[in-house]
Amino acid sequence: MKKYVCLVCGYVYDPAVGDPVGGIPAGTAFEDLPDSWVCPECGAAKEMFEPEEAQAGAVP
Amino acid sequence: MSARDCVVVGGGVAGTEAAVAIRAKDPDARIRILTDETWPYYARIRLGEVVDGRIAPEGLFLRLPGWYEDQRIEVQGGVRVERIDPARAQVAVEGGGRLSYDALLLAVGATPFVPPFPGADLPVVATLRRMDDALELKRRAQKGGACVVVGGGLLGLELAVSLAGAGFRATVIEAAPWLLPRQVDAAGGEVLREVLHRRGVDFRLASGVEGVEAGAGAARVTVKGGQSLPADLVVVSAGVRPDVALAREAGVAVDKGIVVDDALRTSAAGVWAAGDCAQHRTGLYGFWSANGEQGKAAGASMAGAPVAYAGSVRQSTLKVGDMAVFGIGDLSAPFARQESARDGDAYRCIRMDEAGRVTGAVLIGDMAERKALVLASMSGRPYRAA
Ligand SMILES: Cc1cc2nc3c(=O)[nH]c(=O)nc-3n(C[C@H](O)[C@H](O)[C@H](O)COP(=O)(O)OP(=O)(O)OC[C@H]3O[C@@H](n4cnc5c(N)ncnc54)[C@H](O)[C@@H]3O)c2cc1C
Ligand SMILES: [Zn+2]
Repeated sequence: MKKYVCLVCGYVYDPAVGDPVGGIPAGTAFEDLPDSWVCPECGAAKEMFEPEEAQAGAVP
Repeated sequence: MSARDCVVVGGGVAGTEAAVAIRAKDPDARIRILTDETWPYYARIRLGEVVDGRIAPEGLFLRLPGWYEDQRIEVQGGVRVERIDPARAQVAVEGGGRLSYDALLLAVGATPFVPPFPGADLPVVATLRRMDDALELKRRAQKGGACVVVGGGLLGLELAVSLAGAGFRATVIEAAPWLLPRQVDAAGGEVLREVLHRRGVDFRLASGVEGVEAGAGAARVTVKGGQSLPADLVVVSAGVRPDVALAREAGVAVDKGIVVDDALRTSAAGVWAAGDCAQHRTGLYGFWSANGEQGKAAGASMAGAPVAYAGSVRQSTLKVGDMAVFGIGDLSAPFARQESARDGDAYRCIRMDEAGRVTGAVLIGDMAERKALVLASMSGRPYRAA
């Protein structure tokens, strides 16, 4: 399962870990996160995430 | 040899990531985090959500209870470090105790900057940096009234939206002629202004605060030109200054921040610095992801691993309220033509040179073109919207 990166703050959602504080168990794919889920570190919505390898933010 | 004794001052993103990195490299190290806050590690970026009551403080905690025990990281909350003594490898904490260390990390963050206008020290003037500040602003908002936010940067705008949501009539005072002048062009700034206005925020652009006067009722904020606004609360959001006092008093090299090398080491042996308090090369970042990266690098270095931190990528996607704002390139660079269009609350502006290469671009609201713009900028090829 793919990791996803928050474009706003850099938080990485790792399905192997889930978001235990946010009540998301380990093993939950990013696609299966509820739409109400937000980035724990900055509060950004799911649309603000991109797959890690495709993350194209690396431009100064 | 006894276990390496690591002391981290500050339990924010830099300090916490450092502690994790130390543990990853050194299973035997003793790791202590000293922090003067009494709250566990929380999402500082999201404090605005506490101000307007969207979330309780606990909702911003970033680690489960028990996590620190699992990692064997000791946290001492409510402990303020008063002095560091690199020559003796000790820190002095408030109340008189001393702790010895083998490796010390300063991850003490930054303090809001309040320009020295007359009245800046009145109780009506506040800032937002810590959980306790957020709870205080929330408490004050219960009475409602008028609130003036000094500074229309990203943080000031977020804060104004939160204060409006908390029950204030909020007015932002900004020196620039439009909002986020470094990130967006004038038309984009206007889109932001309109959207935020609908959320209950008013603006004084190309303005500035001359002074604040307390009165019998609300205070009065005098703005450039002599007009004055009533204010039950004045929140200043005019940037932050790195907390360098501990370092400076100990003779550690300080410029704008605590000066660190590519291994996040300061000028004093055994002392590292990371996060908002640190200055790497010429850079002060002041944002979350860079501070996490610095913390990780500092922790690895403290645990004895070779580290070559080359700096962090500046963020190009911002969040204003729930609106995304993306900027790339340089909007002040010369350009041959531009495509600019507004569609409701969404806005795009793409500037190109003669050959059609992107010189600067802004997206507000709709991020569909973001990746194509980044790729075009990286490759230097002419840009065609997907
Ligand atoms: C309201 C708000 C919104 C923000 N929005 C964004 C955003 O959208 N995107 C973004 O990237 N960044 C944002 N930031 C900035 C971001 O939060 C900071 O850059 C980051 O949190 C700094 O991390 P740090 O670990 O360096 O310092 P901090 O998180 O400030 O941690 C330092 C800690 O050290 C403690 N401390 C200081 N001195 C001492 C001492 N002498 N003894 C003991 N403890 C001490 C402090 O109390 C604090 O807990 C925002 C900040 C705020 C306040
Ligand atoms: Zn995020």
